[in-house]
Amino acid sequence: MKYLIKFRLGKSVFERAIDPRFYLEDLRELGNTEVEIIKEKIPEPEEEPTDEHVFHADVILETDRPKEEILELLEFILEDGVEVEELEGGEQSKEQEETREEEKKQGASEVPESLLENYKLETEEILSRLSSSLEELAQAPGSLELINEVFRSFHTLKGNTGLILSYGEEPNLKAIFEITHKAESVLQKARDGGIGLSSRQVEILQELVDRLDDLFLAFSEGREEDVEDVYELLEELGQSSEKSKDMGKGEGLPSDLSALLNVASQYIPLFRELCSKGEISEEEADFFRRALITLYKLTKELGFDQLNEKIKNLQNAFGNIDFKEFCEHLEELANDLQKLVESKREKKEEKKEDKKSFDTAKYISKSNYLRVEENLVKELMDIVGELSVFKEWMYLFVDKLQKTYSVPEASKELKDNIHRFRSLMEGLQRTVLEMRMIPLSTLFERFPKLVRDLSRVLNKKVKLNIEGGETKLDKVIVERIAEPMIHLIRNSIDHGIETLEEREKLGKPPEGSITIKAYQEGGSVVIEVADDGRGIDVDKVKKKAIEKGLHTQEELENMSEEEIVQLIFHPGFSTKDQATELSGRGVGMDVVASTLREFGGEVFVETKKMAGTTVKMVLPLTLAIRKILLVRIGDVIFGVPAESVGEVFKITRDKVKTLKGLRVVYHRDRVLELEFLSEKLGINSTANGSITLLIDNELTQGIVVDEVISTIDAVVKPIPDVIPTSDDISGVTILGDGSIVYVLEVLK
Amino acid sequence: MKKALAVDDSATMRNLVKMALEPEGFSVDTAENGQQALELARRNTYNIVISDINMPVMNGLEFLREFRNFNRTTPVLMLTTETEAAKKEQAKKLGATGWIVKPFRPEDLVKVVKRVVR
Repeated sequence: MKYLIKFRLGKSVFERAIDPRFYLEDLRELGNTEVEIIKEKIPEPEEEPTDEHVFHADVILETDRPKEEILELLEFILEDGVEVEELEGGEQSKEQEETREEEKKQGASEVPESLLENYKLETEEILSRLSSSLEELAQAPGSLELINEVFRSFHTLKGNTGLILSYGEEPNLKAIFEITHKAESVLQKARDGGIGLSSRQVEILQELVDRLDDLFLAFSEGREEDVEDVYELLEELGQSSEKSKDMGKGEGLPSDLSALLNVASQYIPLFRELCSKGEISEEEADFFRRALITLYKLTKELGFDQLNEKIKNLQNAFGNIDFKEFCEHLEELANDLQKLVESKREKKEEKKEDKKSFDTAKYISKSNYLRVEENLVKELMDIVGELSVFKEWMYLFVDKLQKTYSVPEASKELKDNIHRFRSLMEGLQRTVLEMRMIPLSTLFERFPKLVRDLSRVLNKKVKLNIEGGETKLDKVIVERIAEPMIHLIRNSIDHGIETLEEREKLGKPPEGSITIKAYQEGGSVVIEVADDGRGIDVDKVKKKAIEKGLHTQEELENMSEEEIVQLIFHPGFSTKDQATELSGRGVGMDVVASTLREFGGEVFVETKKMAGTTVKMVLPLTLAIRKILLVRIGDVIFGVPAESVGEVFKITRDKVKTLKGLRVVYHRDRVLELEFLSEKLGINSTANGSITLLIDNELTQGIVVDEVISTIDAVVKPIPDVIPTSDDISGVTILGDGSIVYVLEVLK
Repeated sequence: MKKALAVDDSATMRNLVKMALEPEGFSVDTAENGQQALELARRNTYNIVISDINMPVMNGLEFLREFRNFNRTTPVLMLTTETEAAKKEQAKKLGATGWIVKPFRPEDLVKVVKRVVR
């Protein structure tokens, strides 16, 4: 097929950051194109688009793709002056369209796991938020703010549900979608029309949310929930909105039943009091008249015809008959009203009772969480840890069966089936680890108060932004990073963010900002604490580094600024000239760094003069089980945490060169300085021909061992403080055969 | 690395955008409302911004208006629903590059993003 596509684009596309030339590229991908540029004047990136800016071109496209696809491609600029004309060969497209449609229909496929997980979590959150907002709304059905809040919850739930449904039909989700759709439109009307909701509508919404709970539970459990009753509710919800709208047009009277009940219960005692006087003043007579008018209107709107008739008669009688006689009739009305008030109250209470018992049921069925004592989880964790050690033993045993006990058949059989045991173990391990994960928000939610307090004490204005509180991390780690994080925030406010006057001089907004951001990156969780303060003074860091004897002037000159700022994490480093009351003396970033290192975390800093500092903490997801490389040096076996190793490779000894007294190898076009662990630890190496290098993640340093034996999952236990050890040893782990191995932190 | 900013009050949607764009080589920042998004957009340069319309604190259209005050070159895609047709027009006037109608799948988003970012 051949198409002529005319571009007659002007200012309107350039104002929307559209580069029409992209479309020519896209069209080229669809088939053969002939492009004729008629007029092209595209604004420069910083230039304001004007009417002079145009893009006129004709493109002839020869393609086997359907017209729809071309139109879809051009969707964003179709109304801005693009025309697509079919030049020839339009017939065959029908068939293609059909197959295309079919393809679309077949779109049902598995929902990505993480998406579904996210959906479930957020839905639980939305539903619980909805039921508490509706509770509030029941107290104030007219509050537009609350209505908007409720609207948004339904809106979000609808959008999310629609997304999951787009992967395939599911009856419960379909019902959720319909309910949220209806609720959303009723709430939108109530919000935009400024009329609020009736208490009945709020009641219905509450019932609907309960049903949404049921539906969601049914969805999670994979069964189908009966939703017959929902449709009645939905219908009523829509109707009451019409009704309340009409009544809203009345004389500004509160218009529902609860209003009548309210008014009546106020009037009745007053009526009785005035009647008991026998005689009334002009003002009191006025009150009677107004009260009757109000009651008349309310009963009429609610369709209480009998009451309405009575009131009408009373209105006519007032002033025309004896006051005492009027009072007798009035008493009759008062009795009727009182009965009405009482009966409705009872009903309401009954409903409440009903609700209460229903709530309990809901609580029982909905409780997806189980509170467990932390110790139990820890115990389970330890058992799983031991089990995984046992798993390693099993592998050793397979070998032993074959080599030592010479039972190759048994060895083979065990070996063939051991993988099942392994995958079960891994599943168990993962589940237990997940049990220990808690969202970082549990820690982050303490910070707003901290920031407020600190900014008050330090007389600064600081705004705190928190992102990614939903990121989960091992509870133990969350607890242990609390102090370092508080320290970082304190540092930012105290040293980073300038005083109000300084900021004004610099033309910065008076309010400083701190952003805490958490996210998962591979097997780690990253937490960033960023401020928009003055940044770290690199010259000062240099001066301090020389003063403290960490580096010589010369060394520093060979380092990048980035490397130099990292020195603040060196023990005993502090940059501010005077330690202030809050930061304390001698406590610096090094405490942060050492705390993190204790459990395998790392910390980096990035700073821009006058623009701010970002501290990035990289934390392991969990403490408990780590991947350990088992390495051999001489006849001793050590462990090295796998996460600190970027690369492992074998080389022959003659590849090691000497450069300025250092032993190095050339690797990936870089010179890599080597450290021989055998020398460091005083063990005789037995590797003659070839040695094995472990290289760190940044590919800057390498350590030499004799060989790498294997990788294991192991529980690394810290060494008690009372045993003096080298800094290089971070803990011990027990192997399957019961032997104890030191875990070395040599690549940090 | 290309950078994207995803603005939505729904965590599911934010995650969806991440899921879609990260494999395409984007690093994705997220914001829960227009205000957070503005702050991020003032400090960072993004190759694309993807924003929901209905959000608390500052909605997507308000965000778009503010954003276009200081940035005319970054494409902005709005996430709309079927019922928000009028808003689509409004968004175009305010400088939205394009839109994608919810619900959409990761691959749909990638397709649209590729149309406006190089």
